[in-house]
Amino acid sequence: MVFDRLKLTSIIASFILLIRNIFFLIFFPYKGMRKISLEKDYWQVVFIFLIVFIYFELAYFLRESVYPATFTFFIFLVNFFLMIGFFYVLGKFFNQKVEKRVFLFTFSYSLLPTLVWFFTTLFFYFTLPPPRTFSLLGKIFSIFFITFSLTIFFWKVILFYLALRFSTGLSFFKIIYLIFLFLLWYTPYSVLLYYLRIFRVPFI
Amino acid sequence: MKSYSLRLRKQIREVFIIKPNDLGNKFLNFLFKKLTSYLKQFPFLLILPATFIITFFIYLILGNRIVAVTTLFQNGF
Repeated sequence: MVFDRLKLTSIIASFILLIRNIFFLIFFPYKGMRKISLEKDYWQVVFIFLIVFIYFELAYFLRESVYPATFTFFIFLVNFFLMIGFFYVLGKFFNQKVEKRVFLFTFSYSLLPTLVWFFTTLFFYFTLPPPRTFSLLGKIFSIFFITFSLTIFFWKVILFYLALRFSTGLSFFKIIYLIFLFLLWYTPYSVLLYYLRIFRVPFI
Repeated sequence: MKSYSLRLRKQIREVFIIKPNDLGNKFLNFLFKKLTSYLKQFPFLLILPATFIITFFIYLILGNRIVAVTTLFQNGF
């Protein structure tokens, strides 16, 4: 019983830490990612993956997707660990001191903008369903939505860069080189996932 | 006093966890530091106006077709 209470307390503490880290990533991304790279509490990663799974479940129920949520979640996990594995191997090539744990934490937290975009798009899909019209309100919403999407995209780029910076410890140009190599195989892979109707927009 | 010293040491260790970026040129390093300093704290202050301007240019280029782009993205989840 005492053990259970201790475990529950530690899980609640992990959730509070997750909220704190999210706050950091919004207001102080650099400092936040630096703190996250030192994290050792795996419950936070579990919480992030749980939120991802909740999103897939919601999208499946609300949109009647072709594939069940568990399958989409499985594909997401494959994508995620493939990406981490790729950067880990290349990071190890340039810097021997890289740790798998840091990759897992930083890249899990870099999913935050992705989750924000997908949840918001899901919300707008039902409140203001497409197709958009050429009316003034339709155009205003289009401008708002594109601005929002671009903002989230740039935030994602910052967090993705910081995740790589803190997990590999490499300099700017080497990170750009790694991202370029990553896009070389990930772009056709994303197109394949698009044609298989698993992900229309890559979930990374 | 001892706890302050410990906290300071922990903070210093955290700050120097990675080497500073070196772009191989003093001017580039200066430019990089200047630009990234705006992105380290609440980057949305810089990103939001920038994306608004970018969207405005997209609207100028695409015109009414911006509506089609939004429809495409709205179906993207």
